[in-house]
Amino acid sequence: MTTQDEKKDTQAKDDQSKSDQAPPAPQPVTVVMQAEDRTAQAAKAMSDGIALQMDTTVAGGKYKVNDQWVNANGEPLKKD
Amino acid sequence: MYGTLSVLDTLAASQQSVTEFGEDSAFAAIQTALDIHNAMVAEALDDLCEFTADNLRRYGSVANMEMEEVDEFGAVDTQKVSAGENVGFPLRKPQIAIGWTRTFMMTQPVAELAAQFTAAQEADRRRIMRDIKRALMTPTNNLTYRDRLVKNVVLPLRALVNADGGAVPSGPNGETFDGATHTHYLATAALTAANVSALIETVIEHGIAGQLRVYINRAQEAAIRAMPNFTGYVDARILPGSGSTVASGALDTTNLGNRAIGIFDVAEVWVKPWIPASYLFAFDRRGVMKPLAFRTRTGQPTGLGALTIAADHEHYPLRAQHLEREYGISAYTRTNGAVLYTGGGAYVAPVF
Repeated sequence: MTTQDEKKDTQAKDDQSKSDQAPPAPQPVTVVMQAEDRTAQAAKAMSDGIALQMDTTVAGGKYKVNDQWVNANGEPLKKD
Repeated sequence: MYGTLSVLDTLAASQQSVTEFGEDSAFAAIQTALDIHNAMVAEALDDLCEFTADNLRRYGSVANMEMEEVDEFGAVDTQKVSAGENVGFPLRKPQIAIGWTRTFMMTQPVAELAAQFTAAQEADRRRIMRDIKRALMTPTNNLTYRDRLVKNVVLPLRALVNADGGAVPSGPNGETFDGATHTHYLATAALTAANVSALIETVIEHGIAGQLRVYINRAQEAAIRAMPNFTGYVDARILPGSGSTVASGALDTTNLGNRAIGIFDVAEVWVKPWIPASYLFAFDRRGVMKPLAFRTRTGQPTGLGALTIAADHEHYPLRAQHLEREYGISAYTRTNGAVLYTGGGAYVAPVF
């Protein structure tokens, strides 16, 4: 076996051992969830006159009745 | 109703005292006038109200389930949809008192008597309109109403769809709506064409049967007319130029406060005297399901449900001092109607 052949043989063994190894585990990716401030967006759109309060951002409704903020059942809302 | 010759004009034209004219004759004329008044009110209510004797109905359901695939031994889990919610209708008895003395009957012309009844009829009409406005434009439910005139049970009176968490029926194409956030009480700080289109769409998205209308106050007429989505009716005496687009329909020039003025998107726009300034109301007029229910004891605006003279002694109905009508109005088809408030970013209930 020539020196050249020995080098080829060693190279082939290295390749074989590499293919037997498990692929590297994927690194965890941290996704930061940023809460969308729909209330502020809707308020700005409404104040700009370009959007309606189509679906209220306050579940249960928010209306002004007799100068008081109430929900859909007429119950007073807590002051912000 | 206004400017119409009526049976009471016969009384108004007479300068005889009630006694001279005859109490029976006077009552006959008044009763005929009341019948006409009641028929006209019933006809006017037909656009917005369904007459019913029910005090409670079920409204709204979410019709969304999912078909699941199974093999020959499969049996999927059961599914259940919300079957709607209770919607109650009130029954109230507004009354007006008219009093007179024996001396009045013997000395005063029947025109005086006719004037009292005309005013009472006008009060009845205004009261009904106030109740309609309250039912449509108050955005909150009244869950503690007690049905005192019938069984004394508590009925849940509801507004139009108002994000109270109630089930909202699916749209015509299977659309679903979140009952906790979906509302038909809209608000905008500035009246724009997009806002009016959105108001109309708020009603259309639930499915309509035909003639969509938007009622506005005359204060908003100029702003609506200036919008690109609006095509106005023209006076029948005016021939539009060859290059102009006009809506097909004659513009009423005699009553500026109560008339159709044109078409906006797909809706006919009406100026209505009872709509408060800065509020717009859209609804489907041809819908089988009316926005409101008009409850009476019999289910018809007749008998106790009509404006009647509540006589102390049936043989002497004119000695009666009260006129009354027993009825109640509340929202029924909660999706057939939407109100747009144009004075700010949040809906403010008008005060009636």
